[in-house]
Amino acid sequence: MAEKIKSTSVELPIGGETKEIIDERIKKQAPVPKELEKQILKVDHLKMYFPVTKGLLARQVAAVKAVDDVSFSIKRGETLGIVGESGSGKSTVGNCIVRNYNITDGQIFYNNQDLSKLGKGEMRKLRKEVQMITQDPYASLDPRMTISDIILEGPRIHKTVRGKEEERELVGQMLELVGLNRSFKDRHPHEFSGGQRQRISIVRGLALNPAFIVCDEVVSALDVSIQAQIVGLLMHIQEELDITYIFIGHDLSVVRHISHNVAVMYLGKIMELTSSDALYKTPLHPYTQALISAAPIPNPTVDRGRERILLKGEIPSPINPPQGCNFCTRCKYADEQCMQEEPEFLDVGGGHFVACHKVPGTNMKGGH
Amino acid sequence: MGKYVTKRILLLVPTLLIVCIIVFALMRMIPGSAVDMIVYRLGQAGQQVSAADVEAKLGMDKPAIWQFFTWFIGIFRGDFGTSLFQNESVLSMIGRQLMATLELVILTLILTNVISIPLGLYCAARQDSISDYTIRSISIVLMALPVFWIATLVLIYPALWWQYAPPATYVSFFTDPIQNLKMFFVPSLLGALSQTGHQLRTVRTVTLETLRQDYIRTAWSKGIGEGRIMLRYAFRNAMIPVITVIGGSIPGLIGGSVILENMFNIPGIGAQLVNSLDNRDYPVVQGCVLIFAIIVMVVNLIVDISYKWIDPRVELE
Amino acid sequence: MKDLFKKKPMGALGLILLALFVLVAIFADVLAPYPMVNGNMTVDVIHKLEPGSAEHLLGTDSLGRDVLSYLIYGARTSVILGICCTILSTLISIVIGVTSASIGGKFDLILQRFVDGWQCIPGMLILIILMNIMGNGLVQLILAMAIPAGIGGSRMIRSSAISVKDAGYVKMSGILGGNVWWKMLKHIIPNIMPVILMGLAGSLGGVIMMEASMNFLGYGVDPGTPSWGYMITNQGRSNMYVAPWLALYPGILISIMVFASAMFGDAVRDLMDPRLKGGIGSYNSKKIAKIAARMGKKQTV
Repeated sequence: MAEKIKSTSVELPIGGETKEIIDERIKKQAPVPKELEKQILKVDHLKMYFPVTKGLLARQVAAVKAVDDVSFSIKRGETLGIVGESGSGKSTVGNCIVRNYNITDGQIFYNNQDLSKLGKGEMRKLRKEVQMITQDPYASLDPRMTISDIILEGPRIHKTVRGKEEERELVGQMLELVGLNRSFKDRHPHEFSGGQRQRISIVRGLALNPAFIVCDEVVSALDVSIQAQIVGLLMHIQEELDITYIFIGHDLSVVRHISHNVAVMYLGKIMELTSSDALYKTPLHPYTQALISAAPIPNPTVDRGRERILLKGEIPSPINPPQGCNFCTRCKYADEQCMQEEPEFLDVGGGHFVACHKVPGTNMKGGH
Repeated sequence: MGKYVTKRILLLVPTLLIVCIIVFALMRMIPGSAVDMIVYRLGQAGQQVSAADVEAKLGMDKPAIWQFFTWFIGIFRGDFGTSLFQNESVLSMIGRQLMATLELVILTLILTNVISIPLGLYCAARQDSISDYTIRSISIVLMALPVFWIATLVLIYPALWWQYAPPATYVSFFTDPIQNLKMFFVPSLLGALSQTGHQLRTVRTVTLETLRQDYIRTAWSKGIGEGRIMLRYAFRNAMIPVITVIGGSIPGLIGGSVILENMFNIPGIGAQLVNSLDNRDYPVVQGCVLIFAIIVMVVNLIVDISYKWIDPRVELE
Repeated sequence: MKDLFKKKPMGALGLILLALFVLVAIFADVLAPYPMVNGNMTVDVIHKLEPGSAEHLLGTDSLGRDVLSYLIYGARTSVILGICCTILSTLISIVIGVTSASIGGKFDLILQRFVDGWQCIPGMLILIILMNIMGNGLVQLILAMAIPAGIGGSRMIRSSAISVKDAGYVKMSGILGGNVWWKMLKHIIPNIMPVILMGLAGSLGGVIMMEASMNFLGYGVDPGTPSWGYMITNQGRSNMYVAPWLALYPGILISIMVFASAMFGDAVRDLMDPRLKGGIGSYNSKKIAKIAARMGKKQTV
């Protein structure tokens, strides 16, 4: 399997205090039955269609197929990265898992519990375990609340802390965990920079001691240097607290860094899913190849020398996707079969899934 | 555009239904000895009736929902019911008085806008200057003066000093304009005073906001003179919210008309309403309130349509 | 707060005047030369309808009550009315507006239609009918004024609540596990506070005006309770040939109070609404010329 890449350049207290905090929290996490210890999340044929309405009475005339039959599973303590361009449906997948939308079809199994079937009350209880961090550090923090209140919002709702003493302790620990000064707790969000606010967002999610976090484009709005810090921080937290992530992003280099496995999405479907190493070494899907070719390589000579893959054509509309493979309008290998028949999402060996007619192992006709 | 207009008119119907429900419910809540009061009053007016007669006439022996629907459907046929006191249909009674109230309201509107809009624009153009402050202070003072108080003073002191009394009989505008205006001018002016104070400030605020916009700044930097900017660019865009304000002032004006009609002996709907309420003449009261509400709805409709006509960016809701 | 006094002197003046009225209202019993006894004004049967004198600074009315004392107690009535009405109507507005915006869907639709319909009926008429239903009296008057005002104000609260409720932090609150009520109380209402305050500050004057108008028409507080509006109608108009000043004093007081409230409300609104800052942004040619001249002078060669 992929080798874990060590975190880089983060200012974090690795002293004794933090270790105690972490030990305590590991103890407090919800126990998981032995047989499920491996697989914490399984998504089965997830479909999310948004209705397009017209007219006074809001009749549905069409549907935006944001997520169209997506399946994957994640092992505990690992990270699944989801990459894709805007409109690929990656953020929607994250939102569906957290039940921000009522999914159109499919099942989401968290610890063998089907999230899609849960009522509002039961889902609320599960919020202690499944959390989400979003992209915008400016809109997601209530400008009228203090940092302390923001971090404590989750615990207060679920009553996981009692009394002012415990509250203050928790806030202090959380702030330290991400390298912020304890005295920040009485300040307001507008007094902080984007990177600091994102760290506060992260820690707000952590305050509930979740086992699973969806990170939706959490670094996309930050400067590149800060991106590195935050990603490193997330990986460090994952290592120490054994948290599972879904990391959604559009920058393949960043996603690959933090993820054990990566799924490449296009127009609501997964094109390729495999370990992040395998993705880089042997990308099978034409789309993945194009994405990798677009990402810059640190060595300028090599970068300038290589041949880039340019995609032609236009991205189709999610309301009216192509009949065959979603990528056929832009793929240089596309042929008659690609236009007519939708490729199946198959395992071509060693847990490497691809949805493409042109990949050897999926069908008999030619390879590339 | 036509589609929008028809849609809006159709939307009026549910609103009308709700207004009728509210009016009807309010009327039914007026305390119970109403029937006795009616019998008593009618007796005083020389008509001997029994409680049962009154109840039958009001349809009170039938369930409330039935009463409501008969009345509601009747409206579309033009039948608002019959007065308990005069043997007249409510509609014709209202028709008689409507002219007077309309005239009062229209005159007040004209006076208000003639004063407030130019002055408001001027104040915006000369923001924070001495004239701006003076005019603004005066307008606040005008807003603060209770209409009926000024009216009372206007009635008392001129009477004391010059033996002035407002004309007591109503003459239609079409019959004798001068005499008519003599009766209407003073109350309209009084009504306009307080409304002017309010509207002047709104015009000023809205114009200021418009002047902040980038396209004004561009025009200014192109060298276009101040007067031209105000008239051609600022005025049009600023007027949009002002129209809304004017439309929104109508309910207030109607309320004011109740007082003014009372004080100046104008036979309008407001006066009619107060009278009938005293007499517990329910059908008439219902009709009056309904007419007012309909006027307000029509005005809102006109405002909405003119909005859409002037500003193409407005979304149809 | 300091901003008020520095930048908006008129608004500060308004606040001071309002505070003064409140103080007079609280200490009415001490300030009035002829205080109330057992809830009734003292009546001087001999001196009726007399103009200002040594014993009665502002004269007496037709029942022999001291005008100055009546006015002072009238202040108390107005203040109580104003405060209760404002608070009650604001609460109603918040309840209707915020729940309508937060719950949304059919609930919102139906409630909004109702508010629409209500708005079509002129306020004065509703007041008159409501007073007819409930009868005269201070409590009834407060209710009758607060309910329509509350319903009317809910519109604005609702629209600001709508602009807030889709904000990122509200969504996050849901993800953290907050339900509708939590979101309303902890996030939506605190973030629309400026709008609420703006409404509160200026509404006192309107309430006083309404109360006076109602008393004028004959609906309002019962005759025993001192009220400025009542005085204008009852005393002023009835006795206008004999003692015209009786109409003058209460009117002046009402005007001052409405004026103060308007100035204060304006100042609060201006301070809280960043769009209206004037000064350098205005395109006043004379002003710009002055500024340019001043700048020209400052430049040394």
